Amino acid sequence: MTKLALSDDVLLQVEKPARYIGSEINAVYKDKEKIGIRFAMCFPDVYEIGMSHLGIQIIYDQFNRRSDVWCERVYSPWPDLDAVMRTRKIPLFALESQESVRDFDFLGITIQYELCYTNILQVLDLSMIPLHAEDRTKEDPIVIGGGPCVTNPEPLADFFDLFYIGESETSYDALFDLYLSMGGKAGDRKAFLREAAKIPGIYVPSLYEVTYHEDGTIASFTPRYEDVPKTVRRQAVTDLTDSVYPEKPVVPYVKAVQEKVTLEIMRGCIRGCRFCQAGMIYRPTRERDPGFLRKRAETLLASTGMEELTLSSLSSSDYTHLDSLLRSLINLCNEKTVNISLPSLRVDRFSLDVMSRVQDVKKSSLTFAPEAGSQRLRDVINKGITEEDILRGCREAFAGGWTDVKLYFMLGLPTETEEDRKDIAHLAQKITDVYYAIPKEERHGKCQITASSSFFVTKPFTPFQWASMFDPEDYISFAGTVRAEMKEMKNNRSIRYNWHEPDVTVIEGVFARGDRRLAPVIESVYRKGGIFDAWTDYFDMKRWEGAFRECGIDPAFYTKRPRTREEILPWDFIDAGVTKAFLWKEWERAQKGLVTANCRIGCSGCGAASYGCGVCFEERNAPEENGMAGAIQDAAARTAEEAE
Amino acid sequence: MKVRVKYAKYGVMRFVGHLDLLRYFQKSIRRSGLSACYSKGFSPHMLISFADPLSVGTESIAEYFDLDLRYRDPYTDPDTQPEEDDSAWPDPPSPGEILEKLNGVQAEGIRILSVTRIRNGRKGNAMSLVSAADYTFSAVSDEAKKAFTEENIARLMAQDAIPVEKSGKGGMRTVDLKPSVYTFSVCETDPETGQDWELPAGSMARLLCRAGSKDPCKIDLLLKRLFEEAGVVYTPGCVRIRRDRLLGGEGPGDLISIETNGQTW
Repeated sequence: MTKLALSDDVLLQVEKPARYIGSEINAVYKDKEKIGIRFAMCFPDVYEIGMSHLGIQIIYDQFNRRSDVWCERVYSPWPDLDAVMRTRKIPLFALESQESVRDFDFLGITIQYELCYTNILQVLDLSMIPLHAEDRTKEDPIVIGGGPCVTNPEPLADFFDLFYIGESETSYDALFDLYLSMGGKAGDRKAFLREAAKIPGIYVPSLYEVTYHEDGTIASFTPRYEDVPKTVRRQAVTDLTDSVYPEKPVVPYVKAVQEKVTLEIMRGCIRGCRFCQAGMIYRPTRERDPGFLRKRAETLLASTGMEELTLSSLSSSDYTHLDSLLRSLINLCNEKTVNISLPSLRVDRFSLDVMSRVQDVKKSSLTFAPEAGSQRLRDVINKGITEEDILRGCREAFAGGWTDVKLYFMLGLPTETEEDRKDIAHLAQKITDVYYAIPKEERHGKCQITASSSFFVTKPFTPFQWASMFDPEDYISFAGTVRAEMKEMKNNRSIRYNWHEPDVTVIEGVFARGDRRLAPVIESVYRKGGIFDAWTDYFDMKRWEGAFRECGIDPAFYTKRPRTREEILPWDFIDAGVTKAFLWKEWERAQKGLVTANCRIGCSGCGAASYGCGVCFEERNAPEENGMAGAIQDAAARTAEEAE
Repeated sequence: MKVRVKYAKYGVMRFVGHLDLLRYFQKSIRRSGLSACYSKGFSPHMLISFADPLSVGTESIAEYFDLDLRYRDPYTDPDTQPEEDDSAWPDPPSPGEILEKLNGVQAEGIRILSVTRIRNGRKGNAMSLVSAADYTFSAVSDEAKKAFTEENIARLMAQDAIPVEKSGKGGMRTVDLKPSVYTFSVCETDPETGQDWELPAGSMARLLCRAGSKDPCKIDLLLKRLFEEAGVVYTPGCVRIRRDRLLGGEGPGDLISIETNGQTW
């Protein structure tokens, strides 16, 4: 019977002890004597968040398919348990074996958002692993970072032995084989890292040297040795149609935030919104086969017993076989009494029809993400949605019985003016006008428009990576403008407006585009007790401000400084497919308000075709005589038109 | 058809709370391939109802839930018609088959002990029948062993009242546990010796007390009180607790098993 790492008295004094016991349905158990590599896969946030993450499920399945690897899970202990573990010196353990993480061969940490950086140090510290990679010995696991934030891993460079940049499916086998061939945990750590650096997608930060100009910008970023590659290629699976996908994901006891069967229908996005990192780094768009997905849905429902199924992608409406896939999934779900929850679909007749068949219209609301209030600014960010699209979608939705509409916006976008902000309120008003234009006897009471705004954070590998951000006071005043204008609206009683905290925006902004010199800041915040910074209750701006001061770092250097084209950016050593030249061209087009066509209308030569797969090689629907060149011309003509 | 399922919850599963367990069972029933009945409407839920919730940390070999299965009811009873016309539904599996299917999909720490057919309708569901329960305690910490002596328990039981502070809707209030405690005494060995849910021997006690929705005995408060009397501090986890029986009936002299109570064909 399972022996738990924590005693009864500990488990019964903390919230939700089932977070720490493992043994869930479909958790993988192996005979550790017959295993070559023990891998602890960590999501550095609380169990319920980490268990909702699809990426970890894919990696857990992928690694455990190898008979010589046992991959187990680790999550951040909640502050209540954190305190007990520190006072009683209990080392952090993996859920399955309940054994100490420090004894593992690898500790993999997925890095999903900047505010979890302090939790990474918490996990290392509780595991009794030295925080700095340079202080680690044979006694410690190799600490690997992965996930979206390693698109710029530099602020975390001191804490990781290596980073895996890109999708896990391609290079982990080579990494594991290398590790075993070099003697495993008993082998020479430095020699292993040196060899690992030659595997595509692997970045070993200690093997690179960075020098700086007097003004603080990077002067050079070079490998310390000749056999270490200058650039690291972001990894992408070339054939996703029916590539490995979990059949038996772990079913949590404690209710996870997303407790449903998730079908990943595609990776990448054809849209090219200029603020969106995911839309750039996951290129090219690759789809899974609908027949495979239908079969996998059935397997997953049978193996988990879940009550709900959902689709995952960046823009499901762009999935080529969406219609047929949804039809077959709705049939399957009806037969099995499973709810199907739809991801954000473009609101049109098709999606409204589907939604009304799978959910209670009276209870549900519709969501639009116009991101900006004015058409001008929507063109700047290349958000391919017009006011008419939104109003038409709302008109059809209201006719179908919906009365609640949610709108998502960003504030602090490049080139944004006072007028653009006020237009958020104007758009909300126009939607209410559409509703109240319906004859009274056909309406269902009042409508409710909820507009929310977050503050824009500039991310690496986007056309906006050169843009500057603002101070918290500015953000508050931006939101104030929107709020004041909302109050002026005729139908303001049908409109609600809320906005996010500006402080975290600034911290995210610093680390998103930060460099190696920021590591001491993270460590200082952690030493002052900072953990779970992604949680409003635990985030403390004063702690961060103090740490910046202490480390002699000016956050404005990272957030408010406009970059030039010539500047060496901390993430330039990564080759993510999309080229710097393309991003710069897009940045220039953004400032002129020129839109760029999506990948299916016309190729804009972003560079992702170098992966040799996906939408870049689809046959275009463009007329035969014109071919691809014709489609590009069409798009260019439309852009010119819209620019006028 | 409606069945009453009796199960054991032990080992690591003792840390899974009641609401989580409820969702766990709904999923396990779906995995079992048995066809359950659901409520109507846009968010259908499984027709399943649990008897007396168990506290986190407590094990049990006498937990129950009632479940509506989508099979034709094998009995015709003029008083209790099925809620839906089931004449076109598939033939019912035997209780043995149901038990086997359910046990095929459980986690370590949950075992289905019996499956019994019961009457349709809402009357006499497992929860409403519960009026008493049986517990076995095993002291694990040295402090707890000091409290678990024959003298200490006898002294507590000899008192006219066992007042404890209980937090409720209107703040703290004092309640007397004495009427809810039927018998409480030390015991030498675990009657479940050899089973997966066997408790550590050495310092054990047994309790028969009132349970269910009407003034149930508060186990943790009773133990806390016992410890206070013995001059030691009660901390959660210092005593392993296992529920051994859930009973129905009118009181100490008239206790009947829940397992068979529903079956009055």
